[in-house]
Amino acid sequence: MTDVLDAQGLGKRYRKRWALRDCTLQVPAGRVVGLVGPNGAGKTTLLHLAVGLLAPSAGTVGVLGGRPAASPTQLGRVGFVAQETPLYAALSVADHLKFGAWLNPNWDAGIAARRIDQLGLDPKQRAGKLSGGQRAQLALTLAIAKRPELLVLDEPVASLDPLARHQFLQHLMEAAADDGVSIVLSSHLVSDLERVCDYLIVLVDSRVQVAGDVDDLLACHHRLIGPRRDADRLPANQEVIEASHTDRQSTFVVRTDGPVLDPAWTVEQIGLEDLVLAYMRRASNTANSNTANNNTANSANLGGVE
Amino acid sequence: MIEFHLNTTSGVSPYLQLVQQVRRALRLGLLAEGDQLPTVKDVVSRLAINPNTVLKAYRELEHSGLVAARAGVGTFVTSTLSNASLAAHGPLRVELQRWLTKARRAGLDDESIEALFQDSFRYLTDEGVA
Amino acid sequence: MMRLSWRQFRAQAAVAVGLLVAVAVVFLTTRGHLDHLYAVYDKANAACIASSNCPGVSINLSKVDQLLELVGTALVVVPALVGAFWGAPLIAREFENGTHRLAWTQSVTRARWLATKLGVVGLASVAVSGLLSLLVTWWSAPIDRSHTNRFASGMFGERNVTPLGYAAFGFALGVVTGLLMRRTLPAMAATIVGFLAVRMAVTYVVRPYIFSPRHQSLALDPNSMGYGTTNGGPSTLMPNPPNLPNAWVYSTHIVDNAGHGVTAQLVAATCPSLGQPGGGGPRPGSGTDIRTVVPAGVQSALQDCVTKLSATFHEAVTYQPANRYWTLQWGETFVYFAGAVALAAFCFWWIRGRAT
Repeated sequence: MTDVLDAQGLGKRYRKRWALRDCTLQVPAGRVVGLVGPNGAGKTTLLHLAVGLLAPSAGTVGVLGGRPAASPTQLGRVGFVAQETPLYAALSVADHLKFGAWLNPNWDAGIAARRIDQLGLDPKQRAGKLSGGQRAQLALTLAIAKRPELLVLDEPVASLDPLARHQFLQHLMEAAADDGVSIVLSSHLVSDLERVCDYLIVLVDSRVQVAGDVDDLLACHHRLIGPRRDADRLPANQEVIEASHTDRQSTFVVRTDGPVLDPAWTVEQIGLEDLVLAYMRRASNTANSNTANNNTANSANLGGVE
Repeated sequence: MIEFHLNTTSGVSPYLQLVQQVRRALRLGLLAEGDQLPTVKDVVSRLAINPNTVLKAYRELEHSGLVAARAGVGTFVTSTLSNASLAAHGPLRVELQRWLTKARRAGLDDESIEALFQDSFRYLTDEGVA
Repeated sequence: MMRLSWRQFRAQAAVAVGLLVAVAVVFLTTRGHLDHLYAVYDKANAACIASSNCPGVSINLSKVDQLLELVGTALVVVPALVGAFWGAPLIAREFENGTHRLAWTQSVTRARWLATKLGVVGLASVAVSGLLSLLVTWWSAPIDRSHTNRFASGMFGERNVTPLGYAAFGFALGVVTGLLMRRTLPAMAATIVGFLAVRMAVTYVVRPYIFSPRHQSLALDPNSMGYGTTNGGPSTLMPNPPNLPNAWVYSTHIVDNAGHGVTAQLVAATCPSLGQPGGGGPRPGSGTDIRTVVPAGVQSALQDCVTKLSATFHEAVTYQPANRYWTLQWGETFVYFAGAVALAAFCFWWIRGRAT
């Protein structure tokens, strides 16, 4: 099966700032992909590039083997729910379903009607008067009823209360079970994604920090606790993601394919949230040290020849 | 038909929880041969979890020979875990309750009872008995 | 896509239809009265011209004038309003609400989305403006019969075909402004300002040269020459407008064969007897039937002066003949339509490469 998302060196620049850089991903089909990262990390940019709302400044992106938004057929294969779930406030729920049918040749009116019924939405209600959870569900219905092969959602549950969030995810997972549609959803909270995602992409500071099957990631990342030791004294096949030390004890989060043989370490499993946090902290440390290096370099230049 | 639930704080991965719940149901006789397990769609729609998680759990149960998937219909129980042991449940349950009452009277709290049980269980398992 | 565009446009269309119906009702009920008024006036005027002792006939048109002025302004303003209320929000509102992210991820390309929206609302704009112009032109026919200057800068744009071009351009300008500014209210304001500026510029700078004007040389006529001052400068000869009924006269100058205009100093040198400030002689006519009576002595001095000058000077008239009215109407309409098409093409280009 073709990869559902294939990015090579993908980047997007606004004037001087790179919102996304050096993004290389091969996301297999049939997954529920979680895109997680802090606000401003580039999640929305990546998703907009995938659905054709943005054109790349660098690199390429392929979705389901085609270029995003290249043709009506390609547009019909991807369903998108944008952040803040934009809807036509003056149009009613029924109007939105009608317009879905007008604009999408593959529209399944039966699914749409059944879902609206199940949700208890009043078809005559104007979209502007719906609650946040109802808007999200309507937007999701619109995206699902066009029978896409890929569903892309940008922070769909960010502003929903816990019940609405749970109901939304129930609806979404049903769609995943139904047609084997691939899903990519973004969030800045890992807890939103843990139950539903089996593939994870961590995006921090406009760069992809780590990407892979959740099971694989959890299997190859460990927390090592043991006596105080420097990071570079660990074996070469153990990539240190995070390190913290007290005067006597060191704790490392490492990524490794092989077993950890050193008996000095207590090896613990690491949860998804902690894994993401470790990568986020690593990214912010890199950013800080880059800034510091730049500052040092600048002051060295200003100070003349050393 | 059984219903699944998910304990997000137990530290056990979701798919394993599903497997354990099916096995427990089989053991307790809540599921008999020929019974249908909930469809993937039903589980997913109730629990809001990834369908692959359910598929994985059902596949493992199939590997253990406990269930079989029938294409287009669903997943059905093919054998049970209870067997003869189900008959022994009754008296064993009664004995357990007596022991627990004794432990309580001796002044053990919940944690101590559980620690005592885990310890003995592990000891016996290592000895190859339990 | 057409059905969606129409659905989004429905409320605005209803407002326009309502206003058109109201205007039509007012016009239909008042036209009869207007006809009658002008029939009476025409008769009285003919009688006045026939008799030689009649200073003039006036018509009590105060209410009619007011209504006409109102409607005339409407026709000037309607294209600007169409641009602001129909054009500016077309895309700006979608950007403001983020609904473009919904529309551009359905199975319709951006180009088709834009083309349909432009087509549906653009056509409606032109249709509304056309209907309004039809109503106004029909209703003011009796007035237009008496006032013969169809080419007057205001009047030309308030009749017949030109409002169609204005509406198309106003709409396109609104759409582009909304597209670039991405906010509805500022785009509306900018559209109105921009549109009025373009209208002014085209009326005074472009319209005279859409088709090259004709030139005519007339001999100086001692009987109809005037003498006076413009803007308080030195007194000089002032030519009567030539007898070109219903034509659009750009200018009349008294020039010699080399094209140099006659100066006040030359007049004073050639005709020293005409030195009184404020002149004598008949004032330049305005095409009405008002005549002034002047002292015979001043008149003959002026006639002598003109006869003297006519050896070297003649009257050069730059004008568009009356039969060019419709050519000019279509010409100006075409200019505005071309502008609208250019703006629309820009929209397509912009949206193709543009971001979220």
